[in-house]
Order: sequence, then structure tokens, then C-alpha cells
Amino acid sequence: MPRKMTINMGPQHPSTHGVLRVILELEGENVVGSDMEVGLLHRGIEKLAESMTYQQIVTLTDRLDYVTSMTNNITYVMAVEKLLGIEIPPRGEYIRTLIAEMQRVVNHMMFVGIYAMDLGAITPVFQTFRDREIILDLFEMISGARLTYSFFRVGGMREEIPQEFFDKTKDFNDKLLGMIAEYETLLTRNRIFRARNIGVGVVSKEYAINCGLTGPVLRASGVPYDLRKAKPYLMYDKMDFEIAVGDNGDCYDRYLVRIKELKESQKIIAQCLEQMPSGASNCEDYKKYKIPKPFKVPAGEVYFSTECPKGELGFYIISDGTKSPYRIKINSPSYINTAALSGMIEGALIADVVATIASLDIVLGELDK
Amino acid sequence: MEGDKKLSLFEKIFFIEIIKGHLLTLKYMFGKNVTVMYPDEKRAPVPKSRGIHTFKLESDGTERCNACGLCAKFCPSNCITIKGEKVDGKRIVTQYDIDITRCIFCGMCVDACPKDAIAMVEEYEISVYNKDEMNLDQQGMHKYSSRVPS
Amino acid sequence: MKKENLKNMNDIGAAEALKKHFPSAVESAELVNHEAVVYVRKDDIKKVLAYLKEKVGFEYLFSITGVDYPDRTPRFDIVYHLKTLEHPLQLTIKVKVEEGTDVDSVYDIFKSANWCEREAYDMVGVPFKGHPNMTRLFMWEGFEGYPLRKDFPLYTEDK
Repeated sequence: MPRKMTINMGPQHPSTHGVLRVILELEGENVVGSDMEVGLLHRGIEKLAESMTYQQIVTLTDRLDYVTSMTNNITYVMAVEKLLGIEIPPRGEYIRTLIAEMQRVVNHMMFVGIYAMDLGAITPVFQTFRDREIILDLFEMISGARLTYSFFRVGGMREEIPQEFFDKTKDFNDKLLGMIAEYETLLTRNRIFRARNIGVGVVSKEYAINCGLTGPVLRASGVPYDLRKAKPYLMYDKMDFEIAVGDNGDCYDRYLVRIKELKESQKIIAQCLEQMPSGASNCEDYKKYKIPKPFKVPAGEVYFSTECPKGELGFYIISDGTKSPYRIKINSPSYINTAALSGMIEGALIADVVATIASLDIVLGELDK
Repeated sequence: MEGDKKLSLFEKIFFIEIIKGHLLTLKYMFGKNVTVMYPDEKRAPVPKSRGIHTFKLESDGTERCNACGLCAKFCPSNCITIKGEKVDGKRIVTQYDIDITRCIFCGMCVDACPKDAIAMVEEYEISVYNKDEMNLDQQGMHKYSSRVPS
Repeated sequence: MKKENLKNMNDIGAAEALKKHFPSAVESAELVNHEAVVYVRKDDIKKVLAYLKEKVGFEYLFSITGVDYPDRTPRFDIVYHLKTLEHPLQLTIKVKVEEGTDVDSVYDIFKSANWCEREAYDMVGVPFKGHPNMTRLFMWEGFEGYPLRKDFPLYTEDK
């Protein structure tokens, strides 16, 4: 009978993606039990939001998942717009769709690089970060920042987008498939990568649904659920794309789902650029919602969610008719995926715990709120 | 899924995927460097990049700001202190402080200003040795004024 | 209310069908803005959620929230968000809870309730009866007060 040992992984561990503390109970090298401690990055965003006006909260959403600030901005402003009943002209919706997909490309590139790095492969991270830089430069061109964009505003966006942005995006998009092929050459068929991945961290379909898993993790388990298809928002009902679905629900499938999504995003970006209409991109009475005048939102409540790169990000906003929300609840994908981690790593080897955490693609800023 | 197929015997014996990977990395040995050797070599800042704040001046060198306080009111992190007084029937600013350690560079003060008196320049190297210098006062707000068109 | 009928329903239709099935347990079912909001009696919440999961197909619980209304009795709302994966249907189920009382945990029906319930307890201080590990999630042990109650101060004076 081997002696049981309890060890700490994190909060200062490079592969916990921030400050997640996993307490592992080990029997030899096998994990027999685990517990997690979160909240080390808790900044009280929900409480802060109650004291801010609706326009100011956009800056808080940047700091949820700091890898995908644009989609956070879009989700939040669309939740408020739904509460206000604002319609955005087609050009505005196309621009949001385009930027959301570019953000998905950034996130999945980052995932591929960091994931390979966590498993011990150094090369892919250079390739992915080199390519990710191109989109970050494009985003800097329109918003003025590289990570915390605060670009979208209720009713529209901060500034008009120059034509140069679309031209450069097209150049980038034409090369994107070649870039993805490079990552695949380095990883997909590689025998070491496969040995570390196939059959590791398996999530069954039932467990995935019961735990409320979301995003690529849910789809890798064989559930074809994607909000872009299930409840189309923005211009996704006019786009031609497929949902990536895995079969086994192991780490390798989660990687393949994201590679497939990269390719699908490439298709959507091309369609957006092609169909981009001209005209106004902000709503009709955008002046009413513009800074510096705070606006009032009618009393009521709304839950709005979009398919962010990491999964379903939802904002539940209760308004009492004043300039700041009565209560905001942020339903973030990293939070709900991490909650299910204990069941995934039960019985696994300690090295597989690293692979499983990395394959969930979590960001602690979003988990701890 | 498509990539899930087993490695074939041919692939297993001849290390095909490893050779392909090595060829790819070998190719980049002879290519152009993409890394920028900061700080010896600096990345050209993108225009409109949100860096340090500065006052926009009128063509005669006076400040446009009339101390209305909208920037301070709209700052999400409450880091602006502003005071003004009336001189010759015109409101002028007498104290303007931005606590850079609290600033999140969101650009809402720029958007809020009705007089278009404040701007952000592409200056991103703002680290200093002394924490007290991280306070941008009215004098400091003039440092980059020449960079922005009036 | 049957699984097969869900296809032709919208959110409010599902809410009303639920009210018809549980006339005593469901207090009200109405459309607030775009959300179908169902108020359920506190003691019946476990029964209603188990029925929704097993018989109707609302198998995906993704959020449990506490909302504080200091001027109202009962003081708190616990909000459950449920949806089906096959159809685009979503229900907002609310329970009114008085300060000092607890709610039945739904952890044995939905595993996702594990952290969600702990967070709700952490933030507004409504304990869940039957949860295996009812401790704070984000705040540290020994933290006093519940941050998302309206009487919790945003700033403290120790500057």
C-alpha cells in the first residue's frame, strides 16, 4: 500500500496559466483526489460595475479575459443594447463579426503555442506569436491599444475603421491557411505530441453536459453546440461555416477542434470582407449614448451570451432604471470549465494534469472576476 | 476527427513527421529575423496608439482646457484631479493631476472632453526610478504638446 | 410539458407549460424584457429542476446567482439559468429567500452547481443545504461580510 502524499501545484506554477492553486492527492504518480483554490486574482468586477456607468464598464470587460478583449467588449455592449432595444446597422454588425473572428484566431493561435510549450515543445510558440502579432498590430491601428482595447461602445464603436485595416486584414487572411499548415506540420502528426495527448483527460459527453462545460471543450466531447449556430447573433446566420466536433473528448480532440475552428474563422473572415456593406456603422441616435453623457437604461433584466473563443461568455444584467446597473453577473467560460477539472484528472498521471489544464485554455482573470 | 488517424508503418519507420518539422525550422534559419531587439532597436509606434496624456494647445500656446471636469468625472479609475478658477471672465485650469499608477489608458478622458483639449501620444516608455514622478501634473501635461496638431 | 413539444415552443411558452404542470410550486411565469422568468416556491426548487432536467430536457445549468434587494422581504433572489442544447430555449428560474434561511442544493442533479452555489454563498451569503463543501470560493477564509450585498461598502476608510 503506497503512502499518500498531498502536494500543491500553483499558485506560482508556470503551467497553471496564472494563479490557480490545485491541491493534488497522490498515490505514487497517480492522482487520487484533487481540490482547487481560486480567487487569488479576484478584483470584485461585479461589485465595481454597480458603481460605474454603463459606458465605463466596457473598460472592466477588457480585463476579464485579457487575451480576447474584443469579444468581451462585443458581448457586453450587445447585452446592454438588447436591454435598450437598439438596432445596429448592417455594417456595424459585419465589423463586429469580423473582429470577433479575428479575436478567435488570436486566441486559438495563442492556445496552440502555449499548449505545445506546456507539453515541452518550444518551437510552435515562436510561430504562433509571430503570426498573432500581425493581428495585434491591426487592432492597435484601429483602437490604439494592443490588449485592452475598449473599442466597442454601446450603440457603435469608438472610431470609424479606416479602409487600410480591411486591406491589411485581407492580406493577412490570405496567408492564414499557410500559417495554420505550419503549426500542423509541427504538431498534429508528431508522435511525441500524440503520445502526450491521445487518451489523456477524457471527458465523456454526459459529464460535459452535466458540468455545463462550454466552448471547444464541450464540442470536443461530441456535443455539436455552438451559439453561433444554435442562437445566431450578429451576422453568423449569413455565414457559411461548420462546427468543429470531436469524438473522444481527450486533449488531442480539444487541440484538433481549435485547429478546425481556426480554419473556419478564416472562411468567416473572408466572407465578412467580401460582403462588407457601406454606410453607417453606429446606431441612428448614437449621440445619445456617447461619452460624456451617461444614459439611463429602462428597468428590467437581460441575459445575453455569445460564443467567445473560450466558450460561452454571458452577461446577466439587472437594471433598475438608473445610470448604473443594479447587478451584473458575469458567466465566464474559464470559470465553468475549471470547475469540472477535478473530475477530469481523477486517476491521471501528474504530468497529464499539466496537459489537461492547458487543454482547457483558461485565463485566470476571467475565472476570478 | 481527420487528424486522428493512426501513424502508418511507413511514417513510423522513417520518422516522416519529425523530418518535416525539422525541414520547416531549418527553412527559418536562413530567413529574415522577425524579432525586434528592444531596447537597442525600437518598434515604430503605431499612430493613434494610446500612450501618455498631453494637453492640446491653441495656436498661440494657451491651454484649451476650461476645467469643466468631465474627464475626471468619466475616468473609470478616478485618477484625475482637476481644479479651475475664473480669470477675466474665462475659466482656466489651475491644477491638473493624473495619477499614472492608477491610469488604465482607456482613453475615455480624450473621448469625454468637449473642448478637444486632451490627447494621448504614442509614448510608451514611461517608467521612472521614483514612484512620486508617476504623477503627471499640469507642467507634465505640456511635455508632448508639440507632438499633437493644435 | 413534454420533450417532443419543445420544438414548437418559445421561452415563455415553456415557462407557462411549467406553471401548468406545477400549479402550486410555480408562483408566476412572465416575460421580463426578453427573458422568461419563473418564480418557484423555495421548498420546491429541487423538485422543479429535477423534473426539468429528467423529463423535459433542460439539462444544462450554467449559472446560479444571488441578488440582494434590501428593501424587500424576502430579501434575496437566487437566480438559476437553464437551457436545452437541442433547441434555443432558455429559462430563468428564481427563488425568493429570506435572510438567515437556506435553499436546497441542486448539486446532486447538476454537477455544475458545485462552484456556482459556492460563489452565490460567498457573494450574498445564502447557504445551500446539502452541498458537500459549503465554503467560500473567491474570498478567503475568515473574511467578514458578503461583498455583493448592497450594504457592503465599496470603499473602506483605511487609506
